[in-house]
Amino acid sequence: MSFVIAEPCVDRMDQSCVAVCPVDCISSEPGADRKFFIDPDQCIQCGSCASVCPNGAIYPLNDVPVDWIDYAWIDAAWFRDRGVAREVLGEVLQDAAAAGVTVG
Amino acid sequence: MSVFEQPTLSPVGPPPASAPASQPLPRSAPAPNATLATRVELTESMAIFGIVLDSPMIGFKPGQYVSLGLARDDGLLQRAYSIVALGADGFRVELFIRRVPDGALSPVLWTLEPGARVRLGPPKGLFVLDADDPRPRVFIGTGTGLAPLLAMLGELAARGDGAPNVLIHGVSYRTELAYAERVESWLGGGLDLWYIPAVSRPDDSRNSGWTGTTGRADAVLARVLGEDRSLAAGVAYMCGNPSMIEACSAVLTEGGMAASDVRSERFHTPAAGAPVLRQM
Repeated sequence: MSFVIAEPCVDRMDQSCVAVCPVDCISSEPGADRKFFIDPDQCIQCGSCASVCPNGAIYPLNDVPVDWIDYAWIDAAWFRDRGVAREVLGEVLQDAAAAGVTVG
Repeated sequence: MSVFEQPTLSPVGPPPASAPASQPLPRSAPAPNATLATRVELTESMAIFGIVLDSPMIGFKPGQYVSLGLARDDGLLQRAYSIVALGADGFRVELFIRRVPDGALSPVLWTLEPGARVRLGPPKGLFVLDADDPRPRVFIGTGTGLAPLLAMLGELAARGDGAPNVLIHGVSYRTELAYAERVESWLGGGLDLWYIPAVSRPDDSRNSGWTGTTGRADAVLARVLGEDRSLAAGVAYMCGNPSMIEACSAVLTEGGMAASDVRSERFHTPAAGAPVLRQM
């Protein structure tokens, strides 16, 4: 189990999480990504990221709100294929916008 | 300080040159960068680890933690620990660690011999001392939660700080009252510090003969705030388990301390069976 960065990070990208992660498992590509991503294979579940995120965007995998469960897949996917992860993120955000959910 | 020769570690091979896109992106496997020099066992489940880095740590602020990792056959196993002290030369790191019975890493740490090679990450964390704040400081640590507070108090002692400080170290058993001598040496050196070691289980046979303060950290804190009302205008630094921090935060804010002046670091214990960290 790891932590997951969900929708409230999108277009906010505060970066406090990056500063506190002891194993440097939170990444993003400047200019190309709209959020940060947690590598589930590296996360040691210390919870530091979640405790400092000013946007309340980070959840333990088991506690991710159901509307944002896709973000668990997106975070993991980004560390295997960034293009696919970005594509799916775009679709998830479009679906959320279509459903009238505020994004970003 | 003498350390043994470095043991041979299983190297983590590079990713195949033609890795398909669905494979993890190539990442450099962090190599061991430090050597275990000493392990002083305080109790069956608490020990002080002295680790010597190959090159000095840069940018450490008292209160921060570091990841400690061991190379395993299937990757690097890591956990985060607060730093008790960093040597003046930046090479020697001291950690105060509790052995978690079902933990992934800590039981292994108890089996290491001096000379074992380990991996230390960079210092991290926002729970840091504001040494220039002249207000009174209340430090509260339970168990090994004392660790980052010691780094902060060591910094204050070295600076010749003049603000009043209180340190409550809460433990279950008196044998867990680590670092009393070091704290008392700071008192002798002129640090303005009210040091309150406290045991929470005074009736346990392991605490027989204890004549000092008793009670849980939040109850001790309430008595301290009652005795010195000026502390409520100060700042608090707390480290330990989440329930202690919640209880003490409530005592502090009800006592008049601003919530923004209550700073804390929570020690989490990952669920049993936590995934082993893999560095591909």
